[in-house]
Amino acid sequence: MDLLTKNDQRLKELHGFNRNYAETLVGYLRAHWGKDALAREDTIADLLVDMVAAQADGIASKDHFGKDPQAAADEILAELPPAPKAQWLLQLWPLFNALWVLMFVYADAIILSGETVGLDILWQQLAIPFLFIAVAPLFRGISFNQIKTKTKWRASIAVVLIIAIYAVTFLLPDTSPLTSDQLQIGLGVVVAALIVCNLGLSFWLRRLTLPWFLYWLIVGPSVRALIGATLPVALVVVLLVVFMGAVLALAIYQSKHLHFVFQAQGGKQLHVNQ
Amino acid sequence: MSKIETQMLKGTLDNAILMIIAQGETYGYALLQQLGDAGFGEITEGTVYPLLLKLQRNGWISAQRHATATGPDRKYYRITADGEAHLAEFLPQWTQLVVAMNRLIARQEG
Repeated sequence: MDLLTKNDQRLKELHGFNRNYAETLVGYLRAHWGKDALAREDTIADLLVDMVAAQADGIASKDHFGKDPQAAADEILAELPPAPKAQWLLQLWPLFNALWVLMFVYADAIILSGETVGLDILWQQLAIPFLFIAVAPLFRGISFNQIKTKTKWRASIAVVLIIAIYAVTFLLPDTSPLTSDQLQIGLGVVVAALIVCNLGLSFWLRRLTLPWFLYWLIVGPSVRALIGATLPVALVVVLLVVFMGAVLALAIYQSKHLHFVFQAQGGKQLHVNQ
Repeated sequence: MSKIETQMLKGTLDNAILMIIAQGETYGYALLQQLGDAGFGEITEGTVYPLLLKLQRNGWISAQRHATATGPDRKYYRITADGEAHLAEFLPQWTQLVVAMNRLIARQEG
């Protein structure tokens, strides 16, 4: 069982307000993607073990850890090592693939409906989810009971950014609609590129990229077959939803469970000061 | 026991923690209790844990996770040779400070 799963199970040992408190704290620590994930989970493990012990002694988590958990968490985070470069790839690669799946499904839906779409619309569909993911860290700290001024400022900036960039996407000049053939060729090129990238990376990060390699290898041609076949629209929609669901589950699982990188590297255990 | 001002604590708590660890291997939760018993009042883990990370980063303590007789695996902290060297430098400075403050207090009360 990996450390993240163990910590999630340990959280369940806390009850009522203790669990709410701990969940908010753990969520805040985990939202800092710039910090080494194993060091972060190791810290969370220590904090949860002690919170559970305090609970058993009748001490509330708030009294045990402190009335300003965000300030304490910030001090803890300042002491943690930065995320290694590989971790960024592990965190972002699943999202990158998932965003392209979204684009792929959207474009295929357009083709199946017989409609046309311009390149500007397609980029909009890709940019908007990317925008939400990019500004999500600015909302860190919003779930604490006492929201700090800096958190309010960051969240306000995030909202303004979302509105501004969304507005800008509508101001982009219209492009000529792409024909069905152009869309299919474009999608084919993208899928081929993703298959090659995932295959190449699988020699280094097998457990991260092999599922995506297989996904694109299976889904790409399958959807092409769907478009060529005369299947009922409802069935096609269901199949596309299933493809999307599989993607979301894979992306969420991979983004959270980084431990497998270390398992793939020979099961290196985390020892502090080694 | 009154609550000690935060700024005053900040300058001394890390060395206090180091001294407790120097007396014997310990873990986070027990450390809070040991600080309370030593007269530091109620110190929260949110205050202590960042200091433990800082002490590890400085190389003054090491941490190893191992099984306990009852309950989950815990991280135990031990002082290192560098930590002992730091304490050896710190203690005379602290003693000097205590002597100076005691003189001032005696004059104030005298």
